[in-house]
Amino acid sequence: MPKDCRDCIFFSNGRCLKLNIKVDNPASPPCLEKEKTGAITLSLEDLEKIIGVEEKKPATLEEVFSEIREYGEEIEVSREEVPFKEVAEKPPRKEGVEVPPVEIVSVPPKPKRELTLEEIIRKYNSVLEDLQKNLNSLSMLEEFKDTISPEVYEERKRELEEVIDEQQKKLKSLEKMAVSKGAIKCPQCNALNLPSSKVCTRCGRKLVKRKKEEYEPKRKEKLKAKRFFTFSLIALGIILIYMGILNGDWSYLKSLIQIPCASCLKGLLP
Amino acid sequence: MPKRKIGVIRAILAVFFFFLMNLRVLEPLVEIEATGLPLPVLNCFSMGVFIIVNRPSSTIVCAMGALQRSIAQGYIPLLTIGVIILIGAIIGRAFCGWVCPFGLIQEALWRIAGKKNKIKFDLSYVQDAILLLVIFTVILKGLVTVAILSIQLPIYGKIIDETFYEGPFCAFCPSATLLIILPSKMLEVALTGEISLTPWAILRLSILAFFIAASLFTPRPFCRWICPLGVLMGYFNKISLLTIKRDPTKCIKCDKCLRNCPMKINIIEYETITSKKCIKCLSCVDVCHKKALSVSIK
Repeated sequence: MPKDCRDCIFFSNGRCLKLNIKVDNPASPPCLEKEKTGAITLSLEDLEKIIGVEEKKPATLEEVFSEIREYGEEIEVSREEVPFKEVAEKPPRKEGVEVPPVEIVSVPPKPKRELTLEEIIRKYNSVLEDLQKNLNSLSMLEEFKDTISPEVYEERKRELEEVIDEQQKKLKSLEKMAVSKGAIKCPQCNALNLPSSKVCTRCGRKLVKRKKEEYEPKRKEKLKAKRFFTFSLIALGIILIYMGILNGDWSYLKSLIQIPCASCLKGLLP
Repeated sequence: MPKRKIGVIRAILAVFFFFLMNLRVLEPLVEIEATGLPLPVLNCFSMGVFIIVNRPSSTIVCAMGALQRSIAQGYIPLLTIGVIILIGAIIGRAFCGWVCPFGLIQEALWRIAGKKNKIKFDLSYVQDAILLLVIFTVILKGLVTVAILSIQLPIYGKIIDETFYEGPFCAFCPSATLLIILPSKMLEVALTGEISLTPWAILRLSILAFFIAASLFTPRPFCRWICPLGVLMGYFNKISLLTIKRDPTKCIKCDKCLRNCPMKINIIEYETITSKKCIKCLSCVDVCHKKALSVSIK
């Protein structure tokens, strides 16, 4: 039974979590007074004795490395025993069994649409996370290069480098898109944030708001081009209307109203 | 603008425009000239035939009808194309949301039935195909009319005859059925107590009944799946001056706009709503309590 709150597992931040009260004097635990009422108080040692936790010495660095080496060798052996090709091969097809014809259904392509800034940022941040994981794996691989066979090392390294290259390219294109739309890049963790963000959503670092002039010009150019196209269409419409009036379309259309339409008459007349 | 008022304003405006587009109903009282202005609304220029003035009461021309008829008769409809381009470049497909009587009827039914969306498949490709088919048919007919092509167009009895090729879409248009055939048949029943239905009229009435029934389960089925005029105007939504913008920093993705959208556009996918389905009805702007959606002019 602990005689001091500081030895008790329920003591945290000056509060007793068990009794849910503030402890002013940890030297005289309030629970000892409650003991008479049947409350059970357990210390860390008591708990370890109950659940049977053995006292462990911290492992030395050499022990850790030897364990890793053993693990690496185990992998090598198991790979040699079960080659990949054999596992991947399909079982032989039985004779006399007819395979039903495969019907190929063509799926209509989905209409492409421009990604929103939120979507681009979400995609970018997830790729960034994957990239960092892969970079970590690569550095780990370099660190334990001696513990694994050179073939496995080369193969794994090549795989990782290919994936990293692809992810970096993807990140660049996504970043370009997002930055042109006003996204803010965190200088600490490289994550992208919405233009309205005050702190980074990933690491919490305070962000400096970008000036509109930094990213607006390209958008403005695009808008200008679109507006030019719209106004040229309006002009074209006006020209066509003018030409149509000169051509006598107006009187032709008026004449259409004077006669009942044949397709409706078909439905009306028996 | 106060909340949830746009729907009411739209309904009032639609009725007003409908009256304005069919002003010649008042002809027995006042003499009114037809303007002959082609507008992108399904207001048939045969409107009023046999009913009140025994001749069309429309003052304007349905752009789809005018396009088909002109091309099929060998004209290049410069005026109609000009009006379509001009209106499309300025307001996109807004006429569908604010003026078209058939669209408004479908939407009203959907809202009365409790805004259900039980038919969820997307048939926008069918809509494109119908537009292409209509254009191809009338161009073919036009080439035959001006004697560039010397072929005999196939005729199948009374249904697909010479007049069919002059307005292949008009031949099925449920808006014309609702505004012309149905009232005239009702009048016939009221006056004579009998009804005479041609096979063509039965087919047209069943098409109309299908879309009216479907409107109770899904919003604007005809506008979303079939209407070639709507899809033609929808192509202009990408470049039109009038646009609806979504501010992603204000949007909380509550889906209120999607639930209220009569064209079922997934608005949260867009920053500027350029979908060819958007009819600029502003229902989304009306329901957005975060004011993330706004109308803007480029």
